[in-house]
Amino acid sequence: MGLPLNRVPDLLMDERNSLNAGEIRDALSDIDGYFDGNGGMNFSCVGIAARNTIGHALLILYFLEKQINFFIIPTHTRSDAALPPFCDRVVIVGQNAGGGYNLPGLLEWQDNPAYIKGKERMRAGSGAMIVMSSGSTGQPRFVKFHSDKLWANAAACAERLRMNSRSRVLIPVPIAHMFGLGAGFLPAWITGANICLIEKSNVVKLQDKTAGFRPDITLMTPTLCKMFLLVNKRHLSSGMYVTAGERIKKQLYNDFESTCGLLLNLYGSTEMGAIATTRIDDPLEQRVSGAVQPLDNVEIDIVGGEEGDISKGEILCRHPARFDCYIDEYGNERADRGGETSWYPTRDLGSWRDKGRLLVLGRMDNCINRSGFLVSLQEIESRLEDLFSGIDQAIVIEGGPETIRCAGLIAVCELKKGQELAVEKVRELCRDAMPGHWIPDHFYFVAELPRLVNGKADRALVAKQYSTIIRK
Amino acid sequence: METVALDHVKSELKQIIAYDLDANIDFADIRDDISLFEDGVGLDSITIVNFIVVIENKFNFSFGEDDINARLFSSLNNLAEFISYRVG
Repeated sequence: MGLPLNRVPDLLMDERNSLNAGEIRDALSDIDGYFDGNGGMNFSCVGIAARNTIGHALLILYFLEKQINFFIIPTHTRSDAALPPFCDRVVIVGQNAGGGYNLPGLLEWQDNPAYIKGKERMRAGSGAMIVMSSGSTGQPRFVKFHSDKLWANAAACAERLRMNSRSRVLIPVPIAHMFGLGAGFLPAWITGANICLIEKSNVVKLQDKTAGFRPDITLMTPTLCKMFLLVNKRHLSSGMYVTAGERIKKQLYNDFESTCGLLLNLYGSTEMGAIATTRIDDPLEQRVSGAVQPLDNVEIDIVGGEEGDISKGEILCRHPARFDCYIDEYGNERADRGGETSWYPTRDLGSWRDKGRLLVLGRMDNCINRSGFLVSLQEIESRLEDLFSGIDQAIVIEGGPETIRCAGLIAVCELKKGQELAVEKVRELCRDAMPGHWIPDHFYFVAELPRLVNGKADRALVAKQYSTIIRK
Repeated sequence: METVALDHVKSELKQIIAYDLDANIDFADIRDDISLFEDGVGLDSITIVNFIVVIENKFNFSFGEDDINARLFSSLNNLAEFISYRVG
């Protein structure tokens, strides 16, 4: 499958530049001439720190079209960090200074000093895109996609999100990640939608572009939804929003929908790309629950339910547009390669809901067995946050005295400003609203949870602090 | 008189950025023309919202419906002039 370069958007813009269809064609033609003039630049694999700019986006499209192998350098990588030896070159895309858009003039090429000639195992021009998994299930791994699969995944996303040539797609999430690239930029491109890219997920810029660009589809994160709701005093509403990542709380979901517009949840992973989304036509109640429907031709199975609850287990996924394989730092395919027809273990816990909808309950690594039931700590956290409006965020960790059949649970809850909760009252309400094996043994209410620099609660520190308290 | 007020606002904003926010920048390094975005102070979404809340509390006013836009936060000068006008 080739890239439909003959069908370009009417508009592609970033924070500094804006290109119309003719200018986009010219930029792609310029880059084609530039590569031809340099002997096709036959790389083994080129590294690119993909930022949300026109230059980076068009270069990625060109690599995909020409089947040039490329590695998307993770966004948090330090500039002096060593690149994997399977990359022989690195390209740096500068900023356009104004005037015409001269993409070749923005490119600076460097050799990768870690590259060992003759050691590479990737055939040049084999159409591979390599990204790093998040490492949330262990060590980050190099994930290799073939460009055909990326386009197939993008087409499925575009269909589900109803993108078309009249759509206006705003992308404030990084195109260096599969969400921004595979569920945002590539689907928008393949349908000829107008595209606006924002860097660094800045909520003020998001507000600005929402007012100026008037998107009908905006990619979000749960944090961005929350921030946008706080800053968006004009109650700007601009079409539909798509979020991925952790589950959005019921209150935030409702507030966001009533203020900003339709909010859809997308479930996916680096290896599988987009797997499932909430349906546009689903009623609010169903969307709020977070229940998603697999994309066309994606099969889901749930396995390994425990004695107390067989409906709940690990989500397995069979995806026609999945990754090819993991590779090592030299480009060798690793033994754990799966095929299109094999079931991929997502390490996520899920259960089925009505009408073939899937509810993703959290990471398997964040589950424990209590009285024969597989319990997701994230599911308990969500339930506590939904039950008690005074709780801003709950963290549930394993700890405290353990019985023969039951691991101990501790809930540490950050309260909203001015809110107070009594442990006994909370416990009593929990008994009415959740299964007994879900109810934490200890509750702590705090004004503020320790947080990481990215704003997320520092779960590891909470676990360390509170398991120590219990031991004392 | 207006200049004094403006200087005071700038100084207050620099103090907020240097000491109240997790912006990792020293007071002395904050120039009047510095951008509050990634090409300057580099405030992310969470920090910007915190910044807005602290400004509203410190200067005792609320940003209006149309006030929050990228141009306002594109430099410390712009933001200080706006606040100086609103509270002056």
